[in-house]
Amino acid sequence: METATLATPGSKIEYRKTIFGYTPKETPFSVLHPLARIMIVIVFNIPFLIVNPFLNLIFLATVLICYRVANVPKAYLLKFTPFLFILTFFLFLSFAFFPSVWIKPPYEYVIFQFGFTYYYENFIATVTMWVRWMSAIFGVIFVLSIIDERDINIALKSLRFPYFFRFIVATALRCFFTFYYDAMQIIEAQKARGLDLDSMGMLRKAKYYAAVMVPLIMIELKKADEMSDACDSRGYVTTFKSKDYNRTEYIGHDKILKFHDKAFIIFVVLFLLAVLIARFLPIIGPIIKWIPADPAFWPSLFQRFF
Amino acid sequence: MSQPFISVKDVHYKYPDGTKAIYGVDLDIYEGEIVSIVGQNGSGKTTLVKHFNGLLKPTEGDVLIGGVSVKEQPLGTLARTVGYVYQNPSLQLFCRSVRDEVSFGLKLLKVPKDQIAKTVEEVLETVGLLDKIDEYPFFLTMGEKQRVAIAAILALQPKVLIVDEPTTGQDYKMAYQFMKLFEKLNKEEGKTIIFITHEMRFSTEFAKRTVVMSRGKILLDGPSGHVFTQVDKLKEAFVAPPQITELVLKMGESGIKSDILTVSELFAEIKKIHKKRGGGKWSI
Amino acid sequence: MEYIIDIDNLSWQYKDTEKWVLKDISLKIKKGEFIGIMGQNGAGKSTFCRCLNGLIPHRFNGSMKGKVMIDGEIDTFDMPIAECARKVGMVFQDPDAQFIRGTVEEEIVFGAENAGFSIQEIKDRLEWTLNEVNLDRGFLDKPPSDLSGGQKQRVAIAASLILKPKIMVLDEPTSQVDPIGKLEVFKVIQRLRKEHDMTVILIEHRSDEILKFADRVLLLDEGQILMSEPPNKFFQKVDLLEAKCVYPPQVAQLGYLLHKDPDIQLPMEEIPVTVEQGIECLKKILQL
Repeated sequence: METATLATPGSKIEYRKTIFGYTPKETPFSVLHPLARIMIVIVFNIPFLIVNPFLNLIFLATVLICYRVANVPKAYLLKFTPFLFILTFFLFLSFAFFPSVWIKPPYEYVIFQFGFTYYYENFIATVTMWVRWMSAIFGVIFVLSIIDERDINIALKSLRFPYFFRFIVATALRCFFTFYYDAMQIIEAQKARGLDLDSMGMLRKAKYYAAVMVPLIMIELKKADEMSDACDSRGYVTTFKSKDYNRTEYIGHDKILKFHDKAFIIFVVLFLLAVLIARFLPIIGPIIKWIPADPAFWPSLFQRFF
Repeated sequence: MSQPFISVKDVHYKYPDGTKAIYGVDLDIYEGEIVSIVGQNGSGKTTLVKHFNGLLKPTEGDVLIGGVSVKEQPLGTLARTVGYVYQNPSLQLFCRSVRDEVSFGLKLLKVPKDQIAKTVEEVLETVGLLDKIDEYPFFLTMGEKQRVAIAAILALQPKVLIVDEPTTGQDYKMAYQFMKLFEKLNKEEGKTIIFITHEMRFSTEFAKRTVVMSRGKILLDGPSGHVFTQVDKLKEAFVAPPQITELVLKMGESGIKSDILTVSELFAEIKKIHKKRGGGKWSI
Repeated sequence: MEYIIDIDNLSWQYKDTEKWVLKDISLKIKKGEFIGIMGQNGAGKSTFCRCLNGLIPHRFNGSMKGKVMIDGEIDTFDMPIAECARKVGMVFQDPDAQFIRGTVEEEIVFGAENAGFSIQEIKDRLEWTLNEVNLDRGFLDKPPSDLSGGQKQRVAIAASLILKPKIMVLDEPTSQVDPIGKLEVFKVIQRLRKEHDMTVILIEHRSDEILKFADRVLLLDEGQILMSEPPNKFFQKVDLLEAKCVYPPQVAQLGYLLHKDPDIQLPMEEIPVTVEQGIECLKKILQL
C-alpha cells in the first residue's frame, strides 16, 4: 500500500493545498463550516462602511492576528508586497489630486508644496482609505488561504446551488492556475525558437501576444475535450432538470451547518446590518464617520496617554 | 584534444521552492557528438539540459557554451547556438503558414528578407516539408507539426540540438524517421545532438555516447555499448538495457563481441561465427 | 459462449469527413481476456476505444454501421453512456487532462456519485478501490499537482474502478509516465485480472507489457484488423509490423533477418521475441 507523504518533509504540521497556497491543515478555523469561513470575507470588508481609521485599525489588527492564529506562512504574504506598494502609491496619488468627501475643501494645513500643494487633509484621507483597503485585501487573502476548491463546492451546496453550477465554478477556479502554468510553459518553449518574451518591455510583449494566446487556446481546447470525455466515461449526466437524475452528494455529506456555524453566519449578517444602521443613529453615527481632520488632534492624543 | 563545446562544471541546481534537482554534475560534450541522456523522471535530465540553452541558470557551479559562461550570454544569443526541440509542437506553433512559422525566429533577428527565404526553403527541404510550405500548421498531422517545430529551430542554425524525448507517443516509423533526421543533421552538418529518451534502443542505435542520470547525479557516462552492460548501476537508475544488449550480455562465452549495439551488427556477427563453425541451415 | 464484448461489422465515419475511420470490424472477446491493440497513429485505435464505452456514437457526430454489444445486454447505440460506464471503465493517455476534480477523493468518488449509490455504499467502494490501486487514505486530500504520473494514472483507474466495471479499456496509459509509474500501473492491472477476472483492452505502442500480459494482440491499420494473434506469434511477423509502423522487439527483428538469410533460414515459427527465447535460438544456431 503506497502511503502519502507530507507536502513539507521534516515538519510536524500537516499542510494542505488551499486556493492561495500550502497552509496548515488543522487551524482553529477548521471547526467552521466552509460557508462560515467564507463569511469572514464580509467581516473584513465592513471597514468600507466605516470612516473612522481607529475603528478600522481594529479590523486590520484582527485580520493580522487571524494569520498568526492560522499559522499562514509569512512567505505568502511577502509575495504581495509589490502589489501593496502599487496600491498605496495609487491611493496617495488619487487623494493628492482629488478632494475627499469626508473633509470638504478648502484645506488648511499644508505639508509640502511641489508644483502642487499637498495638505494634511489629503494625507489623512489617504490613510483612512488605506486602512480600509488593507483590511479588505488581507481579509480576502486570509480566507483564500483557509479554503480550497472542495470547500467552495460545499459552501455553494449549502446555499442550494445545483451540482452542474458548482462543478463549473470549481473547474473555472482551477483553470485559472492551469492557464497560468501552461502559459509559462509556452513562454519557455517560445524562448527556444528565439522569442524571449521575459526580456521584452510591455509594449513589445503585447505585439507578440499571439505567440502565447494561440498555442494556449489550442492546448486548453484539447484539454477541455479530454476532460469532457473523462466526465462522460464516468457516467456524468449534464441536466438542468435535477429531478430526472439522482446524484448522490458524497463530498461534504458529513459537513453540515452546526449550531456554531449558523451562529457565526447570523452574527456576521447582524454585524453588517448593525453598522449600516448605526451610521444613521445619533451618537454612534458621528463616531463611525469621524476622521481626524485637525492635525492638532495628534498632539492632544499624545498628551492624554503620556 | 579539442575543447569541449558544452562544459558543465560542478553544477548544482535548486528550484525556487527549495527542491534540489541536480547535485554536482560534471559533463563535457564535444562538437559533433551524438549523446543520449537517460534516466527516470525526476533524475534531473531535463533540468540539466535546460542549462545548456540558458533556460535555467545553475545555483552553484557554471556551464560554459563555446567557452563562455551561460550567465554572461543573453537567451537570444544562446538560442542561436543551442536549439531546444520540445516534445509538444503545439506549444510553439501559432503562425498562419509553415513559411511564417519557420521564418519567425529569423525575422526577430532582423535577417534580410532574401536570406530568410533561402534559409526557410533549405530547412524545409531538410525536414522534408517543402511541399507544405504554404499550409496552415494546424491542419498538419502530428508528425508534420513536429517537423515544422524542428525546422523553426533549425532556421536559427544552431550548432547544438537538444531533443527532449523525440519518440514518446510516436509510432515506430515516425520515431525512427526523427532519429534518422537528427543523424543526418549530425553527419551532414556537423551538428551536436543531445537527446533524452526512455527508449533505450535509440540510445544504442543512434548515440555513440550515453549518460545515465539518477537522483540528480550522473551515474554512468561513456560509450553506449559499454554503459548498457553495467547492469547493477542501470538497475539503480531504473533503466533497462535494450534487448540486443541484454541478449549479447547473457550470451557470455559464446564468442560474440561484447560491444555489439544494433540488430544489424549482431546479425552480421552471428553470420560470421555461424560460417566459421561451418553451420548449415536450421534443423529442428 | 457468452462474449463480454461482441462487435459485429462495426464501421464509423466522423461527420463531414470522407474517410471511414473504422471499416467493418468484427471481434469477439471472452470474459477475462487481455487484448492488446497496436497500430500506427491514425489507424483508428483511439476511435475504436471510444466505441467500446459509448462515447461513440453518443458524444461524437458521425455515421455508424454495425453493432457493439457489451456483456450480452447493452447495445452501445441504444444505451446512454452512463449505463455503458458501469460496465466499461476507461483510462486515457494524459494523466493531467483526465483529472477533472480538485482532489483525489473527489476524483475517485465522482463516478459513484453520478451513479446515485448510497453514502455508505460509496464509502465502502472507496475503501475497496483504494486498496485495489494500492494507495492509502493519506492520498485522498491531495491535489493532482502533488502526485507522480504513476499515481495519477492509478487514480484514473480507481475513478473508473469504483463503478466495478467488468471491462477496463486503457488508451496508452503509460506513454506519458515514467518507468516506475509504468510498473505501478501494470501491477494494478495484473492484480485486477487475477483477482477479479477483469477483461482488459490495452492500446500500446511498446511491446514490453503486451508481451508479458496479453492473451491476444490485434494489429489495427486503416480501420481494419489485419492480424489477431497471441503475442508470440504476433511479434514474429516482423515485416508486417515494420510496414505498419509498430515497434517490433529487437530480438524479433534479429530473428527475422536470420529467417530471411539463405544460409540459416530460421523458420518463421522459431523467431524469438524475448531475450530468453533469443538465447535459446542463438545457442542452437551457433551450436553451443
